[in-house]
Parts: sequence; structure tokens; C-alpha cells
Amino acid sequence: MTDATSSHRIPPAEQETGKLAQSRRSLAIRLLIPAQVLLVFIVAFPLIMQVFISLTWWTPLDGDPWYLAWMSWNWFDNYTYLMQDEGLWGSVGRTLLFVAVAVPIEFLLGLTLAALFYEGVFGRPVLYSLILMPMMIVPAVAGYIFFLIFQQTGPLNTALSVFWPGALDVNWLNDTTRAFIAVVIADVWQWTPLMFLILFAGLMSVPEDQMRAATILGANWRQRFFRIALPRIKTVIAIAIGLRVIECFKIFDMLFVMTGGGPGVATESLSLFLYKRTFQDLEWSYVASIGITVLVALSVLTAVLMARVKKKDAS
Amino acid sequence: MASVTLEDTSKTFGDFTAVRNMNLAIKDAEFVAILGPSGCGKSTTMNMIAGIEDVSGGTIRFDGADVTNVPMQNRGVGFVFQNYAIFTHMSVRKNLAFGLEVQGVQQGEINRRVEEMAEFMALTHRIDAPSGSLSVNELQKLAIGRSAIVEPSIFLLDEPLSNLDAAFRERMRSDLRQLQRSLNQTMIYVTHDQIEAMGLADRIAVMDQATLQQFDTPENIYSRPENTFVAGFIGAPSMNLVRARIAERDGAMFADLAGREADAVALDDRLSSQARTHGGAALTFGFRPEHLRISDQPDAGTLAAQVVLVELVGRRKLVHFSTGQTRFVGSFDRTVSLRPGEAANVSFDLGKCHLFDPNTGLRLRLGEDD
Repeated sequence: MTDATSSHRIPPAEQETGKLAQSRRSLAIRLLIPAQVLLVFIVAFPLIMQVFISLTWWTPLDGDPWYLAWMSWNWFDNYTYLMQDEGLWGSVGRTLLFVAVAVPIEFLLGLTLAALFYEGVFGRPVLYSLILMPMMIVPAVAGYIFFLIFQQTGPLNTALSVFWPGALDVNWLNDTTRAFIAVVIADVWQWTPLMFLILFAGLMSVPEDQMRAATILGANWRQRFFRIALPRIKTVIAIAIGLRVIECFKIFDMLFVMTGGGPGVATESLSLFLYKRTFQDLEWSYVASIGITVLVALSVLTAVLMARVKKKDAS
Repeated sequence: MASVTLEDTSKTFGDFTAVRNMNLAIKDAEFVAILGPSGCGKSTTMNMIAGIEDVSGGTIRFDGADVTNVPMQNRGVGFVFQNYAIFTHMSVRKNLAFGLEVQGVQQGEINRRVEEMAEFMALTHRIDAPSGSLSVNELQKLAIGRSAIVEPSIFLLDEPLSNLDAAFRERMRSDLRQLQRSLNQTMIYVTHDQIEAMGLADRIAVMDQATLQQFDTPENIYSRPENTFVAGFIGAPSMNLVRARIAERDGAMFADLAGREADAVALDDRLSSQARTHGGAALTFGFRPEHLRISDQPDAGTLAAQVVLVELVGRRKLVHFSTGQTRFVGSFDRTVSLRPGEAANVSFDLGKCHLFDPNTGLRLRLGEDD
């Protein structure tokens, strides 16, 4: 009965039976195969290889090709080691601290600039290109610029000496705290423009009529900004901060050039730590186990967040 | 409550003049419509009154006080935008309360007035709904309520009804009129819809090409248009404007509308003396479609014309005539039997017809009261 009614509803063009439907399906499969193969090579194969290597002591120093890594099979020794590796967790902590300091500063500066531009600041077109310039510079080059600026005999000390009794000769990059501050300053200098750009674009999308309506109702600049403009660009703010948190967490090139992670490990980020384990110590199986751990951790985190978003949408 | 005066107010954008030397004196608690085709400068005029646009020249006064350079937030005007500009990230309640909150009114007072306004605007059942979920009709009411709640002395509305469906527009029109009476506010209303303007306003300011054409009561705008633009713009179908050659025969004035001297229409005393005073041989003869009559017999007051097209519009029948080079439209009761191709003798209700100067477009008048 139900079959009869449902088949009535299908338009004649889709009433394919037997052979035709089968040949269409096989065509579809054949069209999909190249993409599937590609996917296997760029995702599945490296992933499986990583998991495999991470379960061994294998290192290229042994002289064995990677597929013979099973000879030094160690089950989960790499994973238990990484749980108590102070170098790893120290670098994670420093990276988190770096993100927690740099991104809020970038956000507040970017927002202030965006607000100033939105209200119309003198010389806007010129300032606009000037402000965006740091973003265009290759991070390694930016790192080099700041490496020079923060030298003991560099321009920063020269400039500050004007206000200093006697000549100032602080070595910025040699002290753990000062080096950290210097690196934060460099990152803020380079990435505040991006924050500004995204937030400014968001502000420009706030309907002008709504701002006018608020003005006519008697709202002053602050009330308009905090009660109309900001709530309306909440999503944009989330995107801007999210983007910077992710990028900042991966910071490498600027640190590599400026401090090389030093003094000691004071500015060693997670990326820098992994780089050193990979190319200085050649502990490839250990690095593979860290990679897999990060992947699992991020997947779980994403799944939890997605579930929460879904729940929120449903309610 | 306040009167609004525009003295020689102009607005230019680069080379483009949006409003030219506007003089307008709006009385306290008056309901004024600014009416005109798109691009005539009516919205710019309103924006200047609100302070959204700077003035390029001239003065704007509220109650005699110069407000030309007062910023918009200090002018004490309410403004309803064409697209309503509702804060869609807030609830209906928050929208209504916004104006009071930013002005620092006490919370208890805010709650009381918000409830009151929601009641008045029939939004009570939606008061905690996110305003983004409202229908267009509700958005409209919310927009008006949000402006009205701060009790502005001058209320400005920019085409507030143009987005509404026809049935609701009619109701909103009467609601607006009622609102204006109960608030006893000066209300200025921009529209391109003459029916709205005619039905709502105490006085209408008709604008065209950046210039004020006429500022008068709806009755006068309709029956005594200042010039050919107003005559042609107001009324649907609009006034017929026909070129007429004026001739005097045996002491009487005749208007030749069809290029056939023998068939010229005899003018009455008022139009005759207007034509005599003007002295021109060519004038524009203006008559509304409903001021046409069909006569059985041709005589000195009739014009022979051919029926071209007959349209049925509601209870009326619109008949398009042609004679010589001239075409015009008549509006008759639907019982009149006229068919395309037929000949008819048309006469005019001359007491309601007008003569215009063909060069300036101005209506001829014998005195100030004419």
C-alpha cells in the first residue's frame, strides 16, 4: 500500500528501473574514485604512517627505512614519555601564555583603531595603508627587524637613552622576561593590523540607519558604540579572535629569527619545540606521537564545541 | 511641541542641488506631508530638519530658535526611517526602552512608559520577542513607538508606509492620524503617495526638482494648483493640460483646444478676465477628468471629440478622447455609454477649470484669493 502511493509521487523522469539505475550508480562511483584515491594519499596514508611510527623508537639515525620501524616496536612508550616531558609542557604553557597576552592586546588595539576609523579620523586613506603595512611583511623579516631593534646597541636603546640618565644599554633579548615582552611587542606590531582590518570591516557593515536612529534617540558616541555597533559585530569579533588565537598558537618564524626560543627556553613555543625535536634531535617517532596526541585532543575539543553549538541552536 | 521654519534652506552635493532655497513655515502641532516624485529633494529636506544632513545655505528654526548647527541628537526630533532601522539584536522591550535608557530616565519610569507604549502600539503580546522576528507591520509599529516614547516635539516620518501591504497601510494611516492627535505633535511626513498625503496631512508641501512648488491644504492643492507641475502630479488620473489658442470674438473670449477655430470653446467670465489680464494668445488650459460633461447637442461651450479608449476603473469609467492634435481623459459615472470610435460633444465645468501661463507654468489668477 505504502509502496504504491510513494511510487505515484515520483516524477516519471526519476522512475528508473534495473539497468539504467545501475549504470548511473556505477558512473557515479567511477567519477568519485580519483578524488577518493587522492584523499587516501594525502590524508589516510600519512596519518596511518604517523600512528605506526609513533609506536616505535624509530629515528632516521638508525639508517633503517621507515617501514622497518616495527623492529623497534615499543607500544606506548612515546606517549607515556610525552605525558611527563617538561620541555613539551613548558612550551605548551609558554605558548598559551603568549596567546593570552598577545591576542587581547591585539584585539583592544585593533578595536580602538577600528572605532577611530569608523568615526572618521583625519587623513584616513593614508593612515589606512600605513596601518595595514606590517601585515604585509613576511613574519621572518618582521622578526629580523625586531631582532635588530632590540639589540643592545640597537635603535630602541638609542631612542630611550634620550630620556635616560647616561646611555641605556639593556640587552632586551638576553633576559627571560624582557625577551618575552619583546616577542609579544613584535607579534602585536605585526598582527594588530589584521585585527583592525576584520573589526573595521565588521563595523562598516553595521547599518548606518541604526546608528542614526540611536543618535536621534539621544545616544552619545559611547552608547552607540557599545550598545549598537559592538553587539552587532559579535560574530565578527569571535572570528577575529578565533583566527588570531589559532595563528598565534602556531607562532614559529618570528621567534625562530628573533630569539631562537631563548634565552634558554624562555620564548620557545610549541612549534619551536617540535622543530628542535625534529631537526636537532631527530626524535621522529616521539614527534609523531606528539602530532597524534594534538590531533586527538583537537578533535575531541572540536566535537565538544560543535555539540554545544548544536544544542544552543536547537534551544 | 514646536513650529518648524525653513528660511532659504538649500542643500548641494558637489554640483548637484538637492534642495533649492526652500521656504516653509510649519505651524505647531501641524501634520505636514512633503510630497513629490523620487529624487525631488523631499527626503533631503527632511534629513536637514532632523540634522542628519548639514545645511548648505539658509536657516532652520524650531519655535523661532536657530537650530541649523545643532547636532541631531540635541534637536529633540523623532525620526522613523523608511526601513525602520530597528535594533534587531534587541528585544521589542529593549528597542522601546533604548531612547529612555540613553537619556538616563529612571528604571521604574522606563518600565511604565515602555508598557504603556507597547499597549498603545498593540505590541504587548510581542514585548519580549526578539525584534528580528517581527512582521513588517509590527516593525512599523515598533519604529513609531520607539520614536514616540521619548516624546519628541517634532516627529519626522520618511515614507513609513511604503513597505506595508495595502490593507494594513490603510489602517496604519488612520492610526497615524490618531497618534498625531493624541500626542499633539508637529509631524512631518515624506511620501511619494498622494493618496497618503491627501488623506493625512493638514497641509502638503509639493516638491519637484529640488524646489517647493506649492505649500497648501490638500483641498487647495487639488482644486487650485499653483502651477502645471502640481496640477499634473496631483490626482489620478491627473489634470488634463491642453494647449489653447485664445481669441476674442464679439466681445467674448474663446479657447481653441483642437486647432479648429470654428470649434473653439467659449470661456466664462472668470477665465475670460484671467485671459484678458494675461494678454497672451497661447495659454495652457487645465481641467480635471471629472469636470467633463457629455452634451447631446454641439453649442458654443462644447468641443467635438472622438472616443479613443474606454477603461473601467471601479465605479468610474475613464474615457480617452482625441481631437485634432489634442488628447485628454474624462472620468464619468460607469453608466455613461461611450464606445471607442464614437464621436461626442464634450463640455467643461468651467468654474473648476484653470488657465496656466505656458512659459512659466504658473496658474493665472486675478487676485491673491483666486
